Amino acid sequence: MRKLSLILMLGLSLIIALSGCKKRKNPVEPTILKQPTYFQISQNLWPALDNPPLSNQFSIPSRTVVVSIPGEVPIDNQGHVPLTWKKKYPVLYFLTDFGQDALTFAQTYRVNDIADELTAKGEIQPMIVVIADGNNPMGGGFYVNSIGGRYEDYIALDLRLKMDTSIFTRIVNDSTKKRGISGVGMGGYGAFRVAMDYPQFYSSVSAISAPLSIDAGPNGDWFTDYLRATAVQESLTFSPYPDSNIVPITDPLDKTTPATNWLFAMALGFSPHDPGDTDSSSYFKIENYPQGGPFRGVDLPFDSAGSLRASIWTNWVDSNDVKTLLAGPKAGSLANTKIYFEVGLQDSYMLQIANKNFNNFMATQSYTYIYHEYTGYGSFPADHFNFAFDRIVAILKFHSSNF
Amino acid sequence: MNGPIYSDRSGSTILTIKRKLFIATLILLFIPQLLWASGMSLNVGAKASALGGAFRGLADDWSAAWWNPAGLAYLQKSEANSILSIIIPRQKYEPDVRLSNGSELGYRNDETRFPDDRIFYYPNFSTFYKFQSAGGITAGMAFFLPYGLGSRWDLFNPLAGYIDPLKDTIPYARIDHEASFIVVDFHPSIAKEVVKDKLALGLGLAIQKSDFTWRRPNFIPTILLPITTMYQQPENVNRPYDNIIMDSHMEFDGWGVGINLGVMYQLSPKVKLGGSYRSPVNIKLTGHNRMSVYFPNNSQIVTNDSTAQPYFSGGSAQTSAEVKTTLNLPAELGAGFAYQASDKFTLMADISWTSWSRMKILDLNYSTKAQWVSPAGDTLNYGLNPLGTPADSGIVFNWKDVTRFSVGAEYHFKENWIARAGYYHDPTAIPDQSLNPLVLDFADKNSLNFGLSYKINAYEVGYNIEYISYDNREITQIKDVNGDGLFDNFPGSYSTAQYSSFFYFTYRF
Repeated sequence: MRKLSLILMLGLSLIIALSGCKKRKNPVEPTILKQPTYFQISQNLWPALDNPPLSNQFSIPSRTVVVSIPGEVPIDNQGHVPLTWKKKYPVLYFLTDFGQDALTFAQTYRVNDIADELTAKGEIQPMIVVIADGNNPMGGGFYVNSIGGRYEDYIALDLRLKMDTSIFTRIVNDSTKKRGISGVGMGGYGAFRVAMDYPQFYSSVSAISAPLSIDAGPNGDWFTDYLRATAVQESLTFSPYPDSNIVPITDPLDKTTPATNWLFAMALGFSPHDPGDTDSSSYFKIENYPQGGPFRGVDLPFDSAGSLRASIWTNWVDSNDVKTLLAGPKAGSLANTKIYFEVGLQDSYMLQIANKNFNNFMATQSYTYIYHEYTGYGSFPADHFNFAFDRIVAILKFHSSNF
Repeated sequence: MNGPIYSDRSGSTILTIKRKLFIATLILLFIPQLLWASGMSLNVGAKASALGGAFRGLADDWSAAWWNPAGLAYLQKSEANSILSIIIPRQKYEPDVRLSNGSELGYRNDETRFPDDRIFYYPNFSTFYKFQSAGGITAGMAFFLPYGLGSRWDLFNPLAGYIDPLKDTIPYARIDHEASFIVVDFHPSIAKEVVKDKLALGLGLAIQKSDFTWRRPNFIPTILLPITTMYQQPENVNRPYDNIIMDSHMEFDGWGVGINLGVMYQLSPKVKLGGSYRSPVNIKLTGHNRMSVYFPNNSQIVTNDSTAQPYFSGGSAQTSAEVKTTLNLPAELGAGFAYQASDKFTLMADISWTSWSRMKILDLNYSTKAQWVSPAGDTLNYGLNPLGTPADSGIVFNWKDVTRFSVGAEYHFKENWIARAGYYHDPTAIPDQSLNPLVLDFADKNSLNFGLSYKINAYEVGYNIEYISYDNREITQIKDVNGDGLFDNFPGSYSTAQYSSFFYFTYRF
């Protein structure tokens, strides 16, 4: 009897002890579905970029757009989707920065890999990401309609229609509610301009490190304190007319003159030279474009003495500054658009000034928006776009939540 | 009983028992090399465990060798013991490991993670002889595991875009965080009653062998690499390429020696006082750090800058470097009493102080220079050399001293049957700055213990069960204590419990 009791007692104890032994399982690793590569839309002639005053040599109407398709889509390498496939996806348009080619951007920052993983984890809904650039020999014209090409129309009209009605039409949800636009730097600025001018097409807009407020504000004056001052430090020199200044377009990505490069790209978009303007104190000609034609060029908003040229500067601010546009002629244009913008606090272009000022402005408005500031860690600063991974993740999540 | 110690057994029986003990000794000596332990401090001895470690004032079995060797003097007979401990830790960890600015590193944040759940089995074994002819000296050898820990986790995966999932077929190691720490103590002891029925003294020698494994990812700043466009220019390095990921897997072993002293004082017929001191033990560890670097794969970066080719073409490279370090195990000072309230009922209480603050930083001294060869065959002499990088310069503990309280009770409720119960409160030694999921000691602990034993002639069998409740703990701030560029704590939410069972068998002769 005693032995039996002992055995029973030990057995019972063992059962109690082992009751906590069940192996627990970690969450199952999601299967990441992927397309083998990006898709590319190469079109020989995007209408909005054809035949601008500076010639096609400058606007490059033959452009390639890069498209990231959700991995779950049974699409072949020609872009064909089975007729039985019914699912359609929201589309995010992403505009690259100054001097950035779309394919280089897509391959460098691995937008498709990031989107696929976030999709697999259920952190975003599957979406199509269209990466377009506004690159030209000057690095870009800030995606506005100008003498270098009608980039804004290219994005909002040509490219949108191409996506909605062409080869991807079977998987593109063409509802405005399912369409967003974003960009980095110059592209972020372009995204806001496009969204303000074509609010009927986009339900959400976002910008990474974009110059959204270029003039003075409570946090400083981005143009005066940074862009103009730095360009002067970079040895921007003026020559008297008729030995006209020449836009330094040999290397728009020359890292020794970043402010100068941005200055001329903005001038290309915001203040192309009016041939009827007799004041040449801020005029720079664009050498050899177009070949054999009358010289075309841009006006900087200041002259060789560093003084603002009021008429030019007023045009920069009143017609091109996002903050000023939203306060004036474009007021309410983003009333139905979800807004996100962010900046790194150690931005090489000092865009934290512009974004802080824009945030101050937005706080006085009735828009629904999110503003985020990136800080660096250790000796790793939050510069213009070196937190690429984090920023792409944030952008994708923001737009996904609004689709 | 002054005659030969086996005088009450026939010769054949003695041979059988001797053979069994010999075989058992051999088995038990070899098994521990295959075992894992868990929990930094382990309770030694089933009876002591059942009493919550409130054992210094009683110390009436072989485990007195660890708790208070003076108690060995009061063994009535020689005895041989074997114990099988079964430990079942149930850790849970929800990582929140981000860079100081909140950016992701690749940890599976905000997800409840479990280690590979395992049941740890480990034995203790001892034989002590009562030399009646030598004035009642008791001497013998115990073999046990006083410290141990171990866990293996899958907590990390490189960020999306770091590798090319369509080209890189070498996945990052599934078990990416691992610790195993076992100290095996070969413990000869001797004890003698120096004042009859009043005072006994004991002395033990702790010959300790330690096996130590430590594995976690290291992060090598890309700006250290000789890539023209990135070298020392973090603004030109795009995340997730700000760090090159290295799987650092260290394995060491080594020996150390210490002593322990004990005193037992019979204050009155019903009250015994016990005190003990264990010296610190420094274990010289020698081993290797097997390092595997997982290179990112980004053909566009290579196209833009050919000097990035060796580092941005995917694949992995391995090397192994010899490493030496010293593990400084703590001293312990403890005291307790046993109060025999009646013939059947005894109460015990203990307090002990353990100098875990000796566990500061495990400095890793690399004595060989690692040679790296990239997947493309390039010799990488710069940046990935453990002699020249901040990776793995030291493992930060910075633990703090702790004071533990224990109470226990023993009740002879029936002839040959004894019931035991115990409780202890044991604060965690690990501060926020070095808390990690690898070491089980997540938080302050409260332990409940129950046990039964049964005597049959010269044999005694017993069982007890322990449940340890850990406080939940949350760490929010990531810390790099020694400034080597590698964070030393793992923010997140910690919770755990532990179940243990002890089966023991004693033969007295």
